[in-house]
Amino acid sequence: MSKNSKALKWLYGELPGLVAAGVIPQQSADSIKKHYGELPTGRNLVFIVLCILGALLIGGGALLILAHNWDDYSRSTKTVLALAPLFASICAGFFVLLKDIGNTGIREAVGIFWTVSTICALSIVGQVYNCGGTLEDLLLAAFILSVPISYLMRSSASCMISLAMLVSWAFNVHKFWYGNESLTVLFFIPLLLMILPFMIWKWIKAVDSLSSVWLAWGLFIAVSLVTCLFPTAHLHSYESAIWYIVIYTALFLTGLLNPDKSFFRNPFLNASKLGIGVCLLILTFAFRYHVYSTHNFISPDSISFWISLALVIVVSVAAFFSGRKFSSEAFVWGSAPLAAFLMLLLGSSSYPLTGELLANIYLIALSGWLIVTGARDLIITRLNYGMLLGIAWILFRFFDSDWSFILRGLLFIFLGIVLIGVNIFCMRRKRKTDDAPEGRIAA
Amino acid sequence: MKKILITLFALTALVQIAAPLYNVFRWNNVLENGRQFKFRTAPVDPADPFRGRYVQLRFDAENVQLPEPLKGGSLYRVPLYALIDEDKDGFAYVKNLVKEEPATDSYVKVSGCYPVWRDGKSSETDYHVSFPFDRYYMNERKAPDAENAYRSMNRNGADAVKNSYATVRVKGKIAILDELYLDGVPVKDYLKKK
Repeated sequence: MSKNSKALKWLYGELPGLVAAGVIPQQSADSIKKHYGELPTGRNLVFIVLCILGALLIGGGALLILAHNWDDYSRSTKTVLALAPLFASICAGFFVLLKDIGNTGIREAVGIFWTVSTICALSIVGQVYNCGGTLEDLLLAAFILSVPISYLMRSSASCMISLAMLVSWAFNVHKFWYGNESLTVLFFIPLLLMILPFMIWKWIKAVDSLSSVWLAWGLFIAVSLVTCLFPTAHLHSYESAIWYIVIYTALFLTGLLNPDKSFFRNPFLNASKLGIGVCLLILTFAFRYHVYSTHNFISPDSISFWISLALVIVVSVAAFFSGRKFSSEAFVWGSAPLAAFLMLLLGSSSYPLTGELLANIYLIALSGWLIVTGARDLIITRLNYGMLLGIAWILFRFFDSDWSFILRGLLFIFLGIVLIGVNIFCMRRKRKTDDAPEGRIAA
Repeated sequence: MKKILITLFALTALVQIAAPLYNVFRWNNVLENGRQFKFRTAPVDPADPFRGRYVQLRFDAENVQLPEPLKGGSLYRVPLYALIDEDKDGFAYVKNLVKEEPATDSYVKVSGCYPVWRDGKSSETDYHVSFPFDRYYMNERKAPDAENAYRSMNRNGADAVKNSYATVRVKGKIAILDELYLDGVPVKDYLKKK
């Protein structure tokens, strides 16, 4: 059951009035309060944040003290010292579970302390025996061992630490600076699936809570960072654009399920559109620099081609059904993976510039749709996004041109005036619409 | 529900404690029962974000000259085992590289292997390998001193450099770096003397 704190605040505010008016008895009001639980307050949030910070400081402090490497102690003493915080945190975790402590702050604090203690135990034992492998070995072991903590303590902060360790592992294992084309980085996907159920559970439980929002941003950033490592793992270089667009489209479709559409609270819905836009922009000029290359962008000879195609089909079908159920916007953004696939397919043909042509036409069409529907329905963010996409496209084209400074200057001024002018015009129209008694005016 | 949670908790706690303890027991076993080798070293002192300061070690024995070219095609992502023996001075060297795990206890699984580039082509008998025991963790204040001591020895061209080595215990698949020696004495004692 999703717990919307704004709705809950409104409901709790209404209850005394409803009881006074005799609409519901006091008993029902109490039952409702018991059912939905305590209303989150600012004080609760401060307490949770302080608990998280405190646990991080204690855990980090213990790790640093032990990392000092105490020469005077024997190996066995240092081993016992390394394991002591882990024992303490396990005892704390057991106490929380046994007493079924529901306080979020305490659960988060124990979750963090337990996670940091696990890292601490593994790393210090490795230090004592001059062993334990590379940093990526340590991160992987610590990640796998600390995943259950998020579930047991219901700790979002612990989940975020696990996510950070996973991203760090992916970058360390990849070692792209050595040109190491390792498939190992693709294990990021099954490893991510280990913590994904916890995130989904948090979103189902309370999609608008601060922890759910942070987890959504964490996942969005983690996926955005690590996907850039996939291409060198035996993917054709520009196939990564398809993977990115597929992932962002999937996240966008997930974002449609969240009733809160604001940018900060729903990164899946909004930041994913930015991601798709950036990928499409790159595709509009990517072909130009590779047109003389004999290397194909995608090739049916490779298995990654078929995996990419399968992903495109799955996400396109999902977009089709989402478009019918939720919003027509899903049709538009959901067409991006298929369009990108076609662009790269054309780019790999005997006429590679057809790929570039399609990329440009698609981007202009997308930008135009956003501007037109945004202005018509007075959705200012959509309108601005469409204009920004269009302006970015013009600027990208402009980098390739040899126009004079005067012409470039005039173009800049023109684009600036359009951006500000359209915004002022639409704001005024929206204000008029909002002020109208029926809530909207005739177009 | 609570029973499931407690069971999951017990399993988690058990695995979390068992994981470091398992390493402690098997590494202790190697330190007590493994065969000891001395590897000549060349230290520097970086830091690990989790495990503190350590002396990064490179070994003379990592430069391998094989009696005959390595058979069996590409070395790319192929597990390789270095057969270890002692030279006339008692220091370890790589006798041979093999692709199958040897039956003896005197071998190390190498973590990297590259042929030496010579006269415009890669050599068939000369290789550079990387041993997995390349970190000696030290007290954060003493690790830079160890590095400086080694450098100053190197500058003076002293024989002490030749007498700088690490003892490594080897048993089965595991090799544990036991002690680091500078000028023939354990590095901690060497620094105390200084």
